[in-house]
Amino acid sequence: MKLTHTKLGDALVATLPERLIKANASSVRDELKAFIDQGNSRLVLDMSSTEFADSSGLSVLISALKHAQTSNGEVVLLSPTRPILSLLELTRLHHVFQIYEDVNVAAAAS
Amino acid sequence: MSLSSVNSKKVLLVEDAIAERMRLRAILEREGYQVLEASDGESALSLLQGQTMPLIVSDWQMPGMSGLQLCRRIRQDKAHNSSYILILTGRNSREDLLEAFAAGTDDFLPKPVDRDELLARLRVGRRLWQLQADLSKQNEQVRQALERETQARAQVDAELRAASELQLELLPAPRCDFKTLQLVHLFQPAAGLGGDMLNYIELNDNTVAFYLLDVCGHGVASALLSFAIAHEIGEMFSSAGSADNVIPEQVMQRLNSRFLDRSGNARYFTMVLGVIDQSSGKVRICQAAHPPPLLQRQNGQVEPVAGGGLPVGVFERATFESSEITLQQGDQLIIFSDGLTECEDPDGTQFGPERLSTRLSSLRGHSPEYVLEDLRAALVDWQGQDRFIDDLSIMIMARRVATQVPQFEQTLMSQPDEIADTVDRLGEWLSTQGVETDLAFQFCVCIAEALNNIEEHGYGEGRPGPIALNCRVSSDALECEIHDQAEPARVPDQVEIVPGDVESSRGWFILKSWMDKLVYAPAITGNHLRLVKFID
Repeated sequence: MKLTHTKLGDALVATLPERLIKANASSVRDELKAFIDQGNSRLVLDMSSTEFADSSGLSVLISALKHAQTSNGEVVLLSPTRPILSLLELTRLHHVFQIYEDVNVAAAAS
Repeated sequence: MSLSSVNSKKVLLVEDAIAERMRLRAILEREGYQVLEASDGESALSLLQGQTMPLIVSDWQMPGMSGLQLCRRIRQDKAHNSSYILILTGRNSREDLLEAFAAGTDDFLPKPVDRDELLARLRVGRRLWQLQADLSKQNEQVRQALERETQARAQVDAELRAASELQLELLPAPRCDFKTLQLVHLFQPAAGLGGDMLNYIELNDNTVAFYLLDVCGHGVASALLSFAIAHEIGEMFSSAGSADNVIPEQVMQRLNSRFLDRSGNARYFTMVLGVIDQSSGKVRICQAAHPPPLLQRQNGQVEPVAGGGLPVGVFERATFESSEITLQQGDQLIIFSDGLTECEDPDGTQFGPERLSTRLSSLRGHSPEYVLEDLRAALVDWQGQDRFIDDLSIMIMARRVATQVPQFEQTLMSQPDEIADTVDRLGEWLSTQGVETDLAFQFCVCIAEALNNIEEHGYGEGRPGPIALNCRVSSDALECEIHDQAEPARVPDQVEIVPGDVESSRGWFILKSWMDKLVYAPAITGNHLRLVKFID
């Protein structure tokens, strides 16, 4: 899987797939880690087209955040869909991630 | 080397004074002793190297190593534990004696050495040696016998395990869905290998034959007979040509002649055998001294199936009769071995047919899997332990309701990609059923979590066992039943979520938060998980 991504200021904006699940969790995890290792430790994860996620998908977000923070970076979420937002809230991850609706604000915050 | 094979008249003589050594040697050789000599401790030790010495006679005072030092060195070597050591000495103080005994000496002889006394002491030494030799020989024999026993036992165990695996392979799938029928079973042999056997076989696309039998006794002999009977029935069915030719009472009759016990060992079996017409629900059922099956009507009423008969394999001229019942839509037929009704509580009270009927009445409207699991749990509760003392088998046949609630059914292998596809299709199906998006999403996430859990913890990597999924939408609930044949999956009782933690039980937390009902039932025949989400 190749994630669509663009540079916006200091931040890298990566679009997460429609489904963030166990079947693709490890490849997405590896890609995000590679971004960070290439010096893009400020990541905006665009979740506007992600319609479905399970707990393995959520763990991808968390490991990206942990990895970025070791290089003084940050991972923020952009425009999660309503169901995904409900999943983030249920698992208290909305306290861990900053969530934005505007990509420029997100890029500045990351 | 075994002690008993050594000549007990072998003696090592350690003495630095040549004249004395020669005198003692002469005394000993005249008495038939085989004598080895050493003039000091070091050469005594090298002589002892690699050989067993029943008797050692040593002077105390010697240049270099003293007799006691030699004694200590000898005792350090386990091989010389049994040697009898006699020290020759002029000393006789209490302290000297204690020191010498502490060094491992067996006895003393005062110098100058008296011939008769020396020979008398050595006779004692030889007697002790002989006793030890006999004992060690017996020990060795016992050890060998034990080893042979252990090996034989391990082989028997391995064979029993193989046989019990074979027996499980003869069973049908724990759940089978035919045109209008759903069949489930529980098979729990008391000792790994049992005398029960059951099967359901599709004779043609409209006819299903089923049987459950119980060979008297349990263990190997019963199991062997049950294998043979199952094989024979299979042959009869496949050679019948047409399903119409499979008449339960005739099959029973033939089994009676085939397995008639002429040995007088009273080896017989009880059995229920039937054939059901799926479109009409008509069942022709023949009973041979077996506990009568129970018919659970859709309205909750429970009645035993009428009829009866002699056991199979006892009387040459036994005849068998069938009765007819009709399984209406929503009815279930429960067939079981006496391990169910005769299951005893710690006081010896049997579970009994009445309690079973009452229980079944209360289970009205539940799926056959649910009923099966409930009965098993009730029995475990009743007897106060998981292990069944008698063979237990239960078969439940349910006739599905025609005006069915919409169902999503899928059998998948436990692999992330298949799980993803299934959850995808389920989502689409839910939307065609008009289920509201958020609700459908929550339901799908939970199913994904449950399936992932089975994939990860139940089957483990590289073991893609099958999972059966069945989801229903009714006016007031979304329901899902998941069956797998894996190891019981891990189900944490309490799940706590730590927000930033990568590896917490987030999946189970989601399941427990978003589902209104979670029933997990691990069983030998597979695990059953039921999820319910009420629609407000």
